[in-house]
Amino acid sequence: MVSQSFTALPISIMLVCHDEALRLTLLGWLAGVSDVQVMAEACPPPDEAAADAPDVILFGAVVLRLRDVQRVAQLSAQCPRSKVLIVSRHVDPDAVVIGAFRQGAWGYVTVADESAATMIDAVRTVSRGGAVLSSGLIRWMLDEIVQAQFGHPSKDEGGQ
Amino acid sequence: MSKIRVLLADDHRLFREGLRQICEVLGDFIVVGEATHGQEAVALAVQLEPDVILMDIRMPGLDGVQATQQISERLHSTGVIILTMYRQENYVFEAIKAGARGYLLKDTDSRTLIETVCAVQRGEAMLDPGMAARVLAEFRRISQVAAGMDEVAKLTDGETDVLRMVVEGADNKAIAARLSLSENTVANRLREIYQKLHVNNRTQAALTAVRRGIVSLDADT
Repeated sequence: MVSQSFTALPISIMLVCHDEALRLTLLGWLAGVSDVQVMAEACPPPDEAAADAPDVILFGAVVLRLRDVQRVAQLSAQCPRSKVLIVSRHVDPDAVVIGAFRQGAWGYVTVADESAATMIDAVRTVSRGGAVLSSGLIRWMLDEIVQAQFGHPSKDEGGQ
Repeated sequence: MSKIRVLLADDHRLFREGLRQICEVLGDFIVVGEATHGQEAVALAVQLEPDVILMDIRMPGLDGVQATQQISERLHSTGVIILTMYRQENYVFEAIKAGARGYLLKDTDSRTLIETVCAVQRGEAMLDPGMAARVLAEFRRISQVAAGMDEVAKLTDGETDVLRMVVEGADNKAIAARLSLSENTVANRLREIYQKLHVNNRTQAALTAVRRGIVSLDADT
């Protein structure tokens, strides 16, 4: 742990987004940030993935659909060392977001009510091995786990 | 708006003093009391009814998880945040089961601590991002197990089509239009789905579908 801050490499990002407007917004947000670097804007073929895996795969969606969840599953399987962070323009139904987390996503933020700074914080968090979930989803997952482990939900059920 | 009232429970004096400084100077909260062990934390909590309690796990006598359990049984509007050295998942799950709404490691920063106190006071749940990642990994593990044991997933293709759209938040009218069915047929299929999944409404159906991997993800919607 010596002078880590001086030698740290920027966080490498692969941007996967089929919506042009959202893609440009996200690129704009990332452009001025010194500790991130957009290295690609598509998914590498599986062979290259292992060698060239980005730290973070930023997955942009206007509305998160089940087919996006499937894409997240593919990306996670293809690049197991990369952390998938979803940026959606909408506040999507919990079930779809949970599906994405179940399939390998490590973070989810919405452009609707989050600023560029929030998204970039989320990029840093997932790149360090953290997860970015809403309070409601954390609560829901914890209840699921507590129920699976102890047979009943936690004391103070959130009522999702 | 009145200030958030915080109770500290930790057996290390210097740590409590540091916390008090952070809470009162940076957080603009009021520290209403300090407990040095679990029993005292319960007694002070009942007496002072704080908004939020910052609770250590390992304390002499009653530990932080047991104290949290007793407090959450008696006080429903007090939020407990566990503040600990322990990274092990089991402690998190035990603490949440006992009623804690937040879990932070002692190497967190003061900004995160303050944000967590505010969030928990609003009734939200907050975890350190590293702990959130562990929770997520555990959720994936148990949902795989649940999917493996699933006996109720015997839905017809037609029902699966409807369920997939329910997951995406579509209402009956939109489902009927997309699948070229009458709304009546959609409603009937939904009833069948609820029965097979042992749920009462579409939100529960959607969550069950995703949790157990019933909705196959490969079909394009």
